Amino acid sequence: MKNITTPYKTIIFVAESLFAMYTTKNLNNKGMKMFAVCNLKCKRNERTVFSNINFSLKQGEGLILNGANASGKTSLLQILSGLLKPFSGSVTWNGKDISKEIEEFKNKIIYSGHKNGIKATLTVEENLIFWGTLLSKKTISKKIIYKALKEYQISHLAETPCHMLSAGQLKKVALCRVFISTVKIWILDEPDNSLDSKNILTLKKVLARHLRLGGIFILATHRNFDIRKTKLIKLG
Amino acid sequence: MRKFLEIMKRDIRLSWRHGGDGLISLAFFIIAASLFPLGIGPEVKILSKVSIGVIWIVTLLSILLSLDKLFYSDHEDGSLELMLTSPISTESLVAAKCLANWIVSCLPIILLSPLMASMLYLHTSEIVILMITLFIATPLLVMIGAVGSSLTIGTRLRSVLTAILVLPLYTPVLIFGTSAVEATVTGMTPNSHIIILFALLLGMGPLLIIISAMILRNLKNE
Amino acid sequence: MLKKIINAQSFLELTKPTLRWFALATIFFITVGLYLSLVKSPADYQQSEAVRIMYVHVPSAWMSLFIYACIAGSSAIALIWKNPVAFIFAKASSPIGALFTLITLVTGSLWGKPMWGTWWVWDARLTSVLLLFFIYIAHISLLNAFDNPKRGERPSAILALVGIINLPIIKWSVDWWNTLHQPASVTRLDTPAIHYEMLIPLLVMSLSFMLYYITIVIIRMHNEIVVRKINSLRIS
Repeated sequence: MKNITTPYKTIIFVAESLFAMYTTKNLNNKGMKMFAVCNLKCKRNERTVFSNINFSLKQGEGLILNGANASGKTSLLQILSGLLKPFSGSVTWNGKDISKEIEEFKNKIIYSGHKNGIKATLTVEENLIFWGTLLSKKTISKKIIYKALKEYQISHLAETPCHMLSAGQLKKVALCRVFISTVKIWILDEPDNSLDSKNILTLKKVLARHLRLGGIFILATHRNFDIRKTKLIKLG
Repeated sequence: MRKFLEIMKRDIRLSWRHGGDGLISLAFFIIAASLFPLGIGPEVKILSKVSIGVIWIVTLLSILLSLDKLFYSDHEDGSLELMLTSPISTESLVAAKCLANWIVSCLPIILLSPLMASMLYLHTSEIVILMITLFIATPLLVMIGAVGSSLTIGTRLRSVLTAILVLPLYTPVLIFGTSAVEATVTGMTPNSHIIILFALLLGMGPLLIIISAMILRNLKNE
Repeated sequence: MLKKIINAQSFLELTKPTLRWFALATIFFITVGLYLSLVKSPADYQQSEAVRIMYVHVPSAWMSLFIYACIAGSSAIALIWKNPVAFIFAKASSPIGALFTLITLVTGSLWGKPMWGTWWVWDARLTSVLLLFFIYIAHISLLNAFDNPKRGERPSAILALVGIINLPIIKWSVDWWNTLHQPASVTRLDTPAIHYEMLIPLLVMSLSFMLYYITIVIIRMHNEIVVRKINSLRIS
């Protein structure tokens, strides 16, 4: 079975790359949307966690945040997703400051934090239908949910209540929540936390595909993620 | 609208799966209301005089107990911050949760209040007015509770603190609600009291939802 | 705005020399006021000596309302302009306001016993003051309920504003409730008409209470600022 599907997958890959090249070429002509951060400084409990953070990401670029614990990775991601206000500095999307246009900006991002946000008494499918409907413009179709579950090899868990899942499986469900959304900007806080090496490869594949389709991601992690067109910032 | 309904659906489904959170509020309502005759004595005249106040106060306390699940359980497992970064406005989120809480906790109480009221010797015409006033006032009580509940996310002794915050703010609603029913007891019309209750709901309700949303948005900021 | 440039350091420098004068003025005016009210002012024709409680009761009531208005005002300033001194002012004033409300209630019931024969009566004014006391307690509890004390400033500021909106509604509803439940005998619960010989001690006592409040609030604000400095030194 695997030998038959591999050429099929190559065709899909080639088609996606051509599509991405076409769209980015058009965007280059029209002017690309950019996510820019300028002179960001964050203070928690009167202590400066980080300061002077500058970067900008075009569509199709990603950012990896490395740093020890308590170096401010979570604080930075919370500032980028609008949950936290920085001490000074600005975050802009498409030239507009996100703190002024937070409701519009929320349409463009998806945030995944340390805690999963998965309700233990609901099944995997119910959890994902809820998040899918909340995060997209039209009602989510079950096909998309099952496709994401299959990518992570947990489609057999679709009808299981989430209190029966292990930590790694819960993390995979939380990541499926990100993958079924159609938004461009992904802000992920240590998504590789409880995953084994095979799942981390799938995660890298999905992130690389997201970039090819013109998305942006910002990832905080302890590992090295070598994906094309990603910048690296070390905190702390 | 779809997202609003989806949040409501999820909260109601969660209460159902947890074994009927609303039924627990209902059980508290019945048990606590039954304690009053045991404490005051079974004399008909006295019980029928206090019945209105007793039903109202026990409703207030039942709603107070149900406020815990409004925001706190979502804050614990991280869904609150995920919902705050979703493309739904925070006000819609708060309104959807309040409405779901009202349906789960208050609707059974309103439907069962005639039973408890007649056990406390209240007459039928007054029971109707009692149900109407509860129907108008309980959404307002849930919304005041939402403000109190969102202020105390992350504190120690959360339930008691919410009760201390919220009970002084409940007193106007309590006063107007009970005076509406007492007006029918003495033969006057309850219309003015009901209109004031309704005005409080329409005037304070949206303001309370906006305040609660503002508190949630600044949850992580010091 | 002037308030924007008042920070903790300049507040400390500004008020340190003035504290001594406020304290001396407080002691002076309290002595004068007590002398005037206890010795010089005439005994009332119907209440005899008990009316002298009024000289403590009425200024306390005025102070409790005034302090709540100050807390609400500084909470609004703190929330809009994010001024830390305003937060500290609200935190420092709250227990003083609660104390004055408690004094009002206690002296009121001490006055009530010889005058109307009862320690407590549920009339509109007493019930409203009782509810004001509960709101003060709620404000103080919320300030101290968080593990990180600074976290409690914002919620209690919002609570103060919600309270100030609700106080007129509560007062109005309690008045309404009282007129509905008018007892069979109508008791005269108004303060007596004020003669100038009684007015002057009253005003002097009010002034002394105000000076007391200013002195204590400055001391408490100094304490709070120093505690925060120590904490920030401890962390860094």
